[in-house]
This record gives sequence, structure tokens and C-alpha cells, in this order.
Amino acid sequence: MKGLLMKDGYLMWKYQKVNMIIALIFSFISAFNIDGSNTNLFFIFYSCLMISFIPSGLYLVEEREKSYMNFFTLPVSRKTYVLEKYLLSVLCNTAIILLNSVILLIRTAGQSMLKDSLMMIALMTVMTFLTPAVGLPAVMKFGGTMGTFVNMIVPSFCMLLIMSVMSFDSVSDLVQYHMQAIDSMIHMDFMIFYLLITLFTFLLYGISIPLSVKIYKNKEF
Amino acid sequence: MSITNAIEVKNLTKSYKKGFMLDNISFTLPSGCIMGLIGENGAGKSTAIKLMLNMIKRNSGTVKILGRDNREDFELTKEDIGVVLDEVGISECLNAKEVGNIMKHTFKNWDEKVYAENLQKLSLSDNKKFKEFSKGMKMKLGIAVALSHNAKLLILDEATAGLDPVIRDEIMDMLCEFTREETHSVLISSHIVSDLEKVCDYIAFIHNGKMLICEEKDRLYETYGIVRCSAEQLNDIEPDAVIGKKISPYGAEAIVERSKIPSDWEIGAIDIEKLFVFMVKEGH
Repeated sequence: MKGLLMKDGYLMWKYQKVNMIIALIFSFISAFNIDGSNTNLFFIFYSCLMISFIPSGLYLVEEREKSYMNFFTLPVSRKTYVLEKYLLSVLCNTAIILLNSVILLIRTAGQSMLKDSLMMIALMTVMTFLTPAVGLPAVMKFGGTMGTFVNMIVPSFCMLLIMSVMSFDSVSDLVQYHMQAIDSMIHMDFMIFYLLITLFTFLLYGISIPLSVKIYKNKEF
Repeated sequence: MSITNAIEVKNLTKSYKKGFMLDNISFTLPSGCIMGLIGENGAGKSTAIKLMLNMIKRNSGTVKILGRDNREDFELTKEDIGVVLDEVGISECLNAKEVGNIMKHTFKNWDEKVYAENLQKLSLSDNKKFKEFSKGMKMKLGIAVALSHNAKLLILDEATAGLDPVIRDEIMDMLCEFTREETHSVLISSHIVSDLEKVCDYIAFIHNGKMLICEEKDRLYETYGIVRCSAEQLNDIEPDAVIGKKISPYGAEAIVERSKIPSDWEIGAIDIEKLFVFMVKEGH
């Protein structure tokens, strides 16, 4: 595992350096009130999205170079290889969420926006963990183009969905708009809604790990 | 505990949807020996090696590497195996020093000193990126890695393909040096038969997914010979003694089983390449 992490560390520095720098720049830009809404959604989410693509991006690099084959000639099991990719995604995601959260909390300090900030942190968590949860099994199953397509499209679609949800004043507004019939069933506080989608994302992430292990164990090289 | 056989493959079968099939192959590589796996491109050499390394799933059969079944704790077994595939599989952007750092945290028995010595011996720069290496240098780096963690078994798949004769010779010398220790063994696949003939103790021929022959090299020399005569004279030989023949306007050449040829016939020594080509052409 340590050897794999070290290898990915080198590859991140050599292949993902530009992405990481752009993500950092976007994170710092989010410290300023750019769009007047005091949320800077684009800069925050884009930096999260770029970082969350790193593990699957590295997998695709290894696939292109056929270097992953070499790892199965070394004392590394397929399960360890997959788990390392997830560990890397946890490390990368946690780092960018923490950075963006600190910037957000500093920016909104003294503005009584704690509830909004917590919602933003929840959304960042959803965004960053949903990408590898969907993307890693997809790239491992389909590889190359198809994997990248699923990896990019699904999280982007989810991001659009989240943004559209955010455009409503409350969950019940959203539900009334779409399905008035079930509105009465899910009158809930926005905080609970965000907590639930965060937990749901972690659940998906948790399911994604054994799924990827299974996919990879059955893969032939 | 000393292990008598480095590799034991029994009734290994693998079929693909496309139609190719590795058909029930069996062979044994005793410890301390070098075995050459010979076959034309697409014969099934790489498939056999991938099956041994559990990179693909078998339909049936068993593989024991260093005395252990390769489906049980294979990660432990791989600590003692050095593998070099035809595409070495090191990331293009890494240099030899970084590869060494990764391997140090991958192999329990990684020996930094030996690795540094190997790099020096093979004239490999430790700060040049892998993509800047020539094909020969890439292969040498793969071999330097394979030889730096006290491996007991080396598996090389087409490791000499596309290399110039000088580098091929260097690699063969390294393999011979490696097997000076009696617990060390090498399995090397190639379609460059002359290389393998120089260093191998055992020869295995694979053709169309089938094992044609797997025998000690010296025994092949003892068993088979070449007869040069006219096409008419060739008819006097028992058909089952002829392994393969080539008839041209200038005469006939046949690989024969020495024991089945009358003693008054002059039988010349064969080379492995000729034996392989004749066997393949004859469809054995």
C-alpha cells in the first residue's frame, strides 16, 4: 500500500500538477466575494470537482501506459490496488474540503451564516465523494473513453441537480414543483436534507469500494 | 526448506471467446535451472505466463510456484519472484531513483545497495525519465528491479524482443549469473530461439496453444538429429521417425528421432531453432 501511495504521489506531481494548482487558485479565489452572492459556488465546486477526479485520472494514466499490469507482478493484490485508489481519493477530497471550508468560514465569519456554510460544506462533501463513488467503478469496468464519460457526466449531472435543488427556497417548494402528491410526506428542514444527501453519498461511496474490488478481481489483463 | 521445483504447471487450460485456447499444458521447471518457452507470436507464451502470475483466469489446471499454489497467498510468493514483461510497465514519467523508492516500499526484501549496483552495472542513469530510455535500457531497468529483491525465480516474457544482439547477450549473461545459485531459476519466453539455446537447461515448445515438447536441452540433442539426403532416400526412413522434413530441388532435410534410424545413416546434430521450425511446420 505504501509503495502504491508513493507511486501515486509521484504520478500526481507529474501528471496532475496543473489541475492541483488550478484547484488551489480557484479555492483562494473563492475567498473573495466575486459574484456578489457571497457564495462563490462555481469556484468552490470546480476546485472540488478537479481534485475529486485525481484518482480516476491516475488510473487512466496507468491504463494508457499499461503500468498497472506491472503492479500485478509485484507483491500487490488487486484488492490493495483498488483500496489504495479509494484511500487516495479520501486524502485528496478531505484536503480540498478542509481548505475550502476554512476559507469559507473565514470569509463568512461574523456574518451569521453558519447554517449556510454548513450546507456548503455538505454540498462539497457530496460533490467530491460522489465523483469517485461513481467514477472509480466506471473507469475500472470500462476503462478509457467510456469510463471517462461516466466519470465526468454522472457527477456533473448530480452537480446540476444539486444546483437546481438549491434554487428552491425549501425542499417542499421543490417537491411541490415536481411532485405535489408527495410533498406532505417530506416536509423537512434544509439542514436535515443536506445531512441526508451527505450520508447517502457516504453510503454510495461505501458500496462503491467492494463493487470496484469485485470488478477489478474479475478483470483480465 | 529447499524446493525441488520452481514451477509446476499441470493441465493448464484457458480459452478465449475469440477462439484461441491454451490447451492442457503441463511442464515443470526444476530449481536452479533456466527454461526457455519457445513459440511463434501468438502461440500462447504470454497467456501461459499471465496464468502463472494470476493475471487472467484459467479454465482448469493447477500452477505451483516455488512450492505454493498460485491461488493461495500469491502476494507472499511474489516477494520471491522477479517478473519482466515485454512492456516493462513502469510509468513513463518516473526515473530509476523514483522506481527504486517505490519498490523499497513494495518489496519486503528490497535491497537498495544491490539496486544501485545493478543500475551502475547496466549503465542506467538514475535521474533519466523512463520515457527517455531506449527499448534496451527500459528492459535493463526492468531486469535491475527484478534482480534487486532477492528473488528466487525470474520470469521474463519476451524480454529480449526488439533488442540488439549486444544487449541480448548481456541479458543472457545476467541470467546465467543469476542461476549460479542453485535455488535460483529462470523461465524466459522468446521467439528468438538462438538466445535461449545458449543459456537454457530446459526447452519447451508452444504452438497454437499446445505444448509440443518440454524436455532437457541436452536430451533433445541426444534424441533428435538431422538427416540430409535425396527425396527418394528419405522414403526409406520409417515415417514415424521423421519429425519434420523439407524437400527442395537440391535434396531433402529431415529432423529425425535418432533411435528409429538405421545405424548406417549419417545423422547430424540439430539446433533447437531448426527442431522448432520443423515441428511447427509438420503440425506436431
